[in-house]
Amino acid sequence: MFTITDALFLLLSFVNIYFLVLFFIVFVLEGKNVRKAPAIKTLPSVSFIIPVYNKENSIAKVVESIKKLSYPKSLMEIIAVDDGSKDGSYGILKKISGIKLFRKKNGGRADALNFGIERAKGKIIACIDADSYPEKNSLIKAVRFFDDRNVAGVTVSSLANNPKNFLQKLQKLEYILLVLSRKLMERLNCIYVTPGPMALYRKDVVKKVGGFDTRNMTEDIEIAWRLLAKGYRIRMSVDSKVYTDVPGILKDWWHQRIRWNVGGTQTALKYSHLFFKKPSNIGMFILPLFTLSYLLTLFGLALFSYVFLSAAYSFIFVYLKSAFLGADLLSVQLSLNPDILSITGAFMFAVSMAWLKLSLGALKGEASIKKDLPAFAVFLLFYLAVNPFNLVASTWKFLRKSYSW
Amino acid sequence: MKELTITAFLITALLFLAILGAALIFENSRTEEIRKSLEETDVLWNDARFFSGSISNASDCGFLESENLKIGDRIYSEGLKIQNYESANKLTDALLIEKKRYALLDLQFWENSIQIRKKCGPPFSTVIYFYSQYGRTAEQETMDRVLMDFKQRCGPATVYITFPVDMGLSSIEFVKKDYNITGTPSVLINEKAVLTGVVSTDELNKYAKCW
Repeated sequence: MFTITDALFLLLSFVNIYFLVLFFIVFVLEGKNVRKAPAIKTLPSVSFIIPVYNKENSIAKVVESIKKLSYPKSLMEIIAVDDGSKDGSYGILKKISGIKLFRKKNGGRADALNFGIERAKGKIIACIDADSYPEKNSLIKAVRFFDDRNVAGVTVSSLANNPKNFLQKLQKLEYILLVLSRKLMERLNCIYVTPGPMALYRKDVVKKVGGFDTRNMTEDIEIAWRLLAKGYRIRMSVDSKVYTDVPGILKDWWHQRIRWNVGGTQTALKYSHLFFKKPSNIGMFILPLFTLSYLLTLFGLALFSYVFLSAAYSFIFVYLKSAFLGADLLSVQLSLNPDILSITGAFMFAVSMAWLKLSLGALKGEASIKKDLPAFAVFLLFYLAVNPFNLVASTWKFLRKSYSW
Repeated sequence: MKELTITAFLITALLFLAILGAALIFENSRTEEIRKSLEETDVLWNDARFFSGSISNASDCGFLESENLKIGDRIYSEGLKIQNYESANKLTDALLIEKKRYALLDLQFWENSIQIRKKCGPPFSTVIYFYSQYGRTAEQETMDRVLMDFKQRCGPATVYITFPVDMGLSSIEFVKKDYNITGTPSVLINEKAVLTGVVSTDELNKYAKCW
């Protein structure tokens, strides 16, 4: 019998398949251009701004990586803003030559970035986390996109740095799989985040739009939306890679994801007045995508919980009880007959696998299904399933206004 | 972007229609399989029925009982298949019609079993299970499992028949009235004992006496 639960599952599946199909269509149209980049015409001056807070273990290596970039040194400056670190970060930075070092009272990442922007001389500002290490050619590949005057921001491929434990390996996969979809969003002018590990902006534009929002937990998402709302374009340089340290402890990972979800919610609410309004990319795509994704995740969790609790109830009140009454506990009637739910599920799985392969192809060599099979299996079966729980926790924290860096 | 989103929607809708089509093909093939199987059983059943109608002395009882049990086993396996396919057939109710045919076949088989018991003594017990097709409860699901296990343990010593009480079959309504079946799940053993609610295999065996 067709039940409401079945209908809800099919509805969820329809939406999921819709977005996968949308990305596939964009891939068919733009796939060959994923790694294409404009020819270099001019090399602009670039100011690297590194907001630093308690990063004594990584900051020296970050500065070293920036110094090693293949870019004319006369066109580069490095500004480190110590945001009131309590560890030895400031002491380490003081010993490094060739950088401009500032120290200020703790105000958060956005505040430190704004501080750095005010003192930056370059036409382009490259905001980089104090635990992210750009690849040698990342900058020269990324600046090419700024020849288009309408481009206000360029994001790069953020990847996990040297994953050691299993949690970090899962994040490595996650970051790799995000690259293709983000690049394809460029075609729709809907790149909705310029991730913190490294992102480049046109300095005059960032100043014109008011700098980074210091009240937002994810200023990298908020600034992207602001630039799009003002009619600017954001591009992605897939071949520019930055390797960032990712949480190795579950508690840190959980806290990071809460911050991301809270920041995303703050941003969506801030721009909610643009729903179904122009500019069409935010109002007609990004906002509906965010909202739908949020609602469907919670909805999916509710559905899963219902099915799980029903099964648990059935197990206790039917299986165990029948065994108590003399039935064989081990006799289980399995129905392996294909029905509309299993066919839909199998189709979704096949499409998701195809998307996985495509996504891996965008960054050849970073990971492979064969080599990283255990991580892939856990990623698909468990890692993704944790997100809805994090979203619920984030929503709770957001409503109670109990969130912090 | 508008064109892209509309194209994606249309393609998704087409894919879903294809999935629906595939699911309907599977459902129809399952229903067709059951229909053919029931038709064959119907022929076998009519054959056995005409034969048993002409029995006049007890020396043929052995053959009669074995033929009856053969058909009983066949009907029982078909019932299991229908049960198995039922959960998968979500889009059409064609299988429910076959289930009604199956219930009527079961009813005839039960009648015949009663006649054999009268003619030949009680070589087997009859266990008739009344359940609700549309009002499934945890109680009923528990009895489903208990009775399935009971049948497996008893084997040919028990003729096990199931009747859905709410599929609009007048003959089953008549049986309910006749044997005073007031709720589900209920079990009628040897046309004498009526057990309502959840009962254990030992309780069933008190009346069926199969071990």
